Amino acid sequence: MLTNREFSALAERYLNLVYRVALNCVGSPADADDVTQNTMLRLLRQKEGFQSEEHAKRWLIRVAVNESKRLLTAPWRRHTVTLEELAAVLPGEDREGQELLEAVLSLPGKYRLPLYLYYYEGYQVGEIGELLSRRPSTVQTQLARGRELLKKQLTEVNGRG
Amino acid sequence: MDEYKVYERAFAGVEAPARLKEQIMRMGEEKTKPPHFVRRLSTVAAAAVLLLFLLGCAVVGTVYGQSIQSWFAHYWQAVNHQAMSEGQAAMIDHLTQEINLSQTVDGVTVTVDSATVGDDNFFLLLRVEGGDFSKRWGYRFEDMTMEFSPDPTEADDGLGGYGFQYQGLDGDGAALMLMDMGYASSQGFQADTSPLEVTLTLTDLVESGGSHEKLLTQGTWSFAFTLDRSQIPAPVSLPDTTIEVMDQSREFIVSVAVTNLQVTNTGVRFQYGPSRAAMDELRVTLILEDGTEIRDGGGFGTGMEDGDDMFVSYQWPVPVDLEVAATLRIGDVEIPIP
Repeated sequence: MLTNREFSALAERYLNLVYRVALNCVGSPADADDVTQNTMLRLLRQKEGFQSEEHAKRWLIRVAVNESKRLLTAPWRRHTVTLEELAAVLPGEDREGQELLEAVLSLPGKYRLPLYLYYYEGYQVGEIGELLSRRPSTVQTQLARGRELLKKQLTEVNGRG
Repeated sequence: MDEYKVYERAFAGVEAPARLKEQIMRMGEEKTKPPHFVRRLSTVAAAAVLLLFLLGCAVVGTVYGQSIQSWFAHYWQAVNHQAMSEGQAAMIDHLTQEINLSQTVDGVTVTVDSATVGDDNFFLLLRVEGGDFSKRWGYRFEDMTMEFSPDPTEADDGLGGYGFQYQGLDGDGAALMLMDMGYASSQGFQADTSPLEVTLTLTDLVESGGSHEKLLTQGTWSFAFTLDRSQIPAPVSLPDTTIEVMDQSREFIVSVAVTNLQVTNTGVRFQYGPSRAAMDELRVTLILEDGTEIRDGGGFGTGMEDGDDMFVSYQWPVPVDLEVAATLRIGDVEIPIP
């Protein structure tokens, strides 16, 4: 099992990553809280060590994705997210950031995480396929369709002024 | 459109809340004494849950009944689109104990209404009255702790937790909250029919939703009660089996031996090995004689004290009458229930 120091170091380094992955998966800050906590609990109980920092990071992403799937299918976990909830995720009066966050999180679930991993975390198509257990061709298709929808979404946002 | 800039802008500043970070860093600091019980930070707004019940329900205004049994009955109807059978209702009645303990602080009365008890988990229904509640917001307690005696953590190095879900307002305007507790032992399941003494402490009632968060009532409500575990039906033991799952590296398939498999009215538990199997995505489903499927509502797992195996305990979202249970499905494997 991880030592206290190892767990704390990984938590310090990747907690926000886990939270953002969870947010992309479940679309709700409250549910992302749950997923993050469950993911870090699994890290705490992880019996085997990691081969490298990247191994640990990918393990955390995979577990966060799996925990998100479990939460999304739990019967008591269905709820709608209000704009106010999303606004609470970003501090201060960052209106533009909130609108962009709302736009990306309003995309269909299957596009959200590939887009986030590609454009924010810098993973390549093949790596995203491994992380999400999808074929690279599927990831490419999802990225392309996600981009189209996001463009349309942002056009509508800008159109509202 | 520059997608890189869009994502950079959207997620700049998106971080885990400070409260959550503090909780998780504390988990690491307390690791020398493993956190056997953890509070799951479930603070889900219940708007859609209420909607789930209102849609198609003949009775509007009285969404929930006056007991945890009524809650389970409404839940069963909403999820399975059919009324709960008499046998099912009778079984839940058998597992349910009235607690009916109330405490009032600054005009807000919290009542531990009732408990539905399994041999390694239980549900608690809380009712909160006297607050200025609104259907627009959710309600929770800022801090909740549970202590147990006998404490299963004294005997081993397992893992458990208690969850909390705000369920909405009932017909009388009281806020309903459902708590659940589960535990997985590193020694596997150890039957204990002795009474379970529970001390529940709730602090500061909070109203929240989105960016809105308001301390509704400051105070501490404490309850001590006993759960009777002597009348819980015996579990049904099923034969060992083997399932095929991916290794945690997702590079190859592993054959996983599932042993000591037991189904109860409130969940299912088993031991499996090797521990490196990626059991994260595994779902367990109870299939009833009429085809109704009850999927697990989550659970806990822990490494066994001896060897490389893991022990897991899943909870059904609603207690189930095993008299009408036909099959247990673990992953892709289906096991008939005698």
